[in-house]
Amino acid sequence: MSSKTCSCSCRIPSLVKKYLMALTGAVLVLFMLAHVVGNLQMFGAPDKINTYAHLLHALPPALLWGFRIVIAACIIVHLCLAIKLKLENLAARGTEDYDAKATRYAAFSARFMIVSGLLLIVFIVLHLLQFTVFKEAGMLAQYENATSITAVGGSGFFGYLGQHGNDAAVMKYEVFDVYQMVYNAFSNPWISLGYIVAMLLLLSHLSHGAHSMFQSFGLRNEKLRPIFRVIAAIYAIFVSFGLISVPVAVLTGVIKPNPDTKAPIAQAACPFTKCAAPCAEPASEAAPAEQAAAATDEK
Amino acid sequence: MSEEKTISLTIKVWRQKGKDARGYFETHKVSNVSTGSSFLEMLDILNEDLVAQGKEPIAFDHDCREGICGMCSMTINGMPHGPLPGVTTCQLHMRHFRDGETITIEPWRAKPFPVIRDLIVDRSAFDKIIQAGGFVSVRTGSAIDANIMPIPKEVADTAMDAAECIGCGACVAACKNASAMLFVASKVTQLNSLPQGKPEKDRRVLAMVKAMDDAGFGNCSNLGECQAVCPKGQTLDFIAKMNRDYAVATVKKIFKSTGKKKK
Repeated sequence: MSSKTCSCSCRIPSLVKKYLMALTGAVLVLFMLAHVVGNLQMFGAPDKINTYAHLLHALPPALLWGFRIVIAACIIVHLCLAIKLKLENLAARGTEDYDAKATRYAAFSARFMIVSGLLLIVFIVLHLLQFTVFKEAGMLAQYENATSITAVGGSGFFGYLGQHGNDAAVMKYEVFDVYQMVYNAFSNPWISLGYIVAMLLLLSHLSHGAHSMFQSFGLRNEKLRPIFRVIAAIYAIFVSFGLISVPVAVLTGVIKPNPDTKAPIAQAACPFTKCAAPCAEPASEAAPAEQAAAATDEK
Repeated sequence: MSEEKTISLTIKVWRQKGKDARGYFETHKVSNVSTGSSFLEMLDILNEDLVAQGKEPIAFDHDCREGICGMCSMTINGMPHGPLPGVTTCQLHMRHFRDGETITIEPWRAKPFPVIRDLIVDRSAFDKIIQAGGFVSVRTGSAIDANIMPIPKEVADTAMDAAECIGCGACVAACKNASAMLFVASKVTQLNSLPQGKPEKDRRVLAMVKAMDDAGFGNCSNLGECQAVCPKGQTLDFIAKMNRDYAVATVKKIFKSTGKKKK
């Protein structure tokens, strides 16, 4: 009686699985908040997000990789548990399911969690390949040192990290051009479309997950439930539409190419009407100031 | 009353000869059903017809027929205890159905609730959960003084609300994951809230959750289907309390003192 041989060999108590789902989910919920705030810097001057990205990469490797490993571990635990839970739950229904199916209360997003989650995993893999793995593998070399940022040495983060000397003069640094990389990626309407679909899945996933995690920890009651639901909905809308706003702004021309870049500009900001002539202009010869002038003339 | 209406219905009902037999749907017409009769009375009328035709009547669980015993257990058009909130099947009246409607009746569907016959399922998995921790230890002897143990009103109210659970299993039947969390949480809340249940508080929640997992019930996804169908209005509040109690009990178990040094 004690242990019926289940399809899975290890039996984690159901509530422990629940806590782990909520805990890993909570870490990812906080991470997404930081991620969206980072992405929204695309709306500032190009050196804003480039400075931010440079700062992140200038973190001590132990810290950067520690952070990456924690996030990756959360995703892996969350994914593996989700699959295990789904299999167990399907088995619990038994061989015969209901002929007449009805749902009284459960939200669509809540019942859709496994589907939205698995599709998001596919997105995360592609997303990391495009922006992280390719960079680490040196496949995005055209963006390396392609733009410059200004920072005050000796003070601020750079001084604190000791990355760029200690003299207090305003200095220009050649850095990786994240701004142009993002701009080029989202200039492709197919990439933007895939990204927007993924972010709508994220909206669905977060709108249940971000309030459900409180229930899993037992930190909810009937009075707090509607409040948490509203907070989770606001959070989910902020995150997903914050992220969606970037490709939309690139496609509609609100975000413009980096005027100070040596990286080739992939496409003009008119992706829906195919340009007859390739709009990419290798601007390596042109001085940054002339480029900036040319860019403003184009508008 | 002179206003009494009768309706005719098509009943699509699950038939299964025994635990290991293959089940199938059977369709019957039932007419002259008074809108004032209960759902179970409608089945009684249908069964009388079936017996008159020399057929096997439909087996279903029932007992008190006043909504407090938790015996009736059928899924009506995909909804345990039918479409009304807060009622058991026996308290569901036929006026809530339209004339000529087809009604699909199925037993609770969950692996720990095997079908015994037609609409009757074996709910002894719930008994095993109760055996694991659904009790309090009491001092035997003469009854203690009634007010010797002060219990705050809110605590008594919570315990009484949780105690409303009649153990019918509709929560399991409605849950998309066939989870028994609402039932277990109601029992845990009822006993863990009161001072009489305090001595076994931690042991109880750990043992009852283990019994629930061992029985093969699914996991909770905080969907709220259970709360929507519960004939006694039990809420996810109790599941939240169980989640809290289980977390505390687990932490206490991990860090509990191991006693004196062994000689």
